Amino acid sequence: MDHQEALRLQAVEKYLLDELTTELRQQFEEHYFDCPECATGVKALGTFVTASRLVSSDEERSPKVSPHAAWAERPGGSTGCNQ
Amino acid sequence: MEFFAFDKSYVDRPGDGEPSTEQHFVAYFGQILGIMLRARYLSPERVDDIRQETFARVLATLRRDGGIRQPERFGAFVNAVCKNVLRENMWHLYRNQALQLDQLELPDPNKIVDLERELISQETKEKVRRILAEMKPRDRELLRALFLEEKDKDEICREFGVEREYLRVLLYRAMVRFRSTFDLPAANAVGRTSGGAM
Repeated sequence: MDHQEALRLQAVEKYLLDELTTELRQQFEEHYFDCPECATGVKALGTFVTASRLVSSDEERSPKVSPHAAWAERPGGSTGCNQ
Repeated sequence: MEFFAFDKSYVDRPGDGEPSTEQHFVAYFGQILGIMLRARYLSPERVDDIRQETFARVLATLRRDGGIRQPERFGAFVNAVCKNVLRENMWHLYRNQALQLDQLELPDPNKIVDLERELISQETKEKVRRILAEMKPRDRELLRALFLEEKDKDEICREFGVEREYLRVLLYRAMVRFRSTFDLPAANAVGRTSGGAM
């Protein structure tokens, strides 16, 4: 797999969503270990997903601690950043 | 988060006993090896064992005379070593276990969360918290269903009335937004959150 093929397949997003076939997953893994752009994408999205899970888990443990509870419904779709 | 390409001078340095390159190698590949191995539903302990063995074998090769033949394909080499270690590890695991479902090793979700907690800095969590807060409530709920509740994707799409493509677009936007926070000093990154596209 080359970089153009990875882009065409939306491989980074499909990889993190576990939507690639076994063969394509193997091919993409071979590619992204060698491709700085795709490796950065996989790291960024992987970190985002993991951190999202932790943020949510933290807010479930102490729902009153954060006034900016990221997962909470915000009437009117506020941008939510008051800092 | 960094954008990095390998060359001959890089792969020669650990062979010369250069500690900072070795540390960079471990940090850079530690993360992508972890993502690749966790995608295979391995326990945190097994992920760590395989990762450490991969590092040991790669560094041993670099220190040997001749090193590796194609320095520009160093990443592919690390990937191949890891796949070999993984295969050997799985072979040992299944050889030593009768293949009964109740004996199969499954990762403990609590241990995974604890391990993740160690890997993600408070600063990163704050960035993600702000990005999530910029999103439309429906998109936040969708991500929550996807990654926290780990619901079936088709069920999520039905529930939220979206196509599978929408999940990929949502992730792509989140990735772009998240990456943008690493291109700026922390103070500026805070100021950008109110102008997000999501």
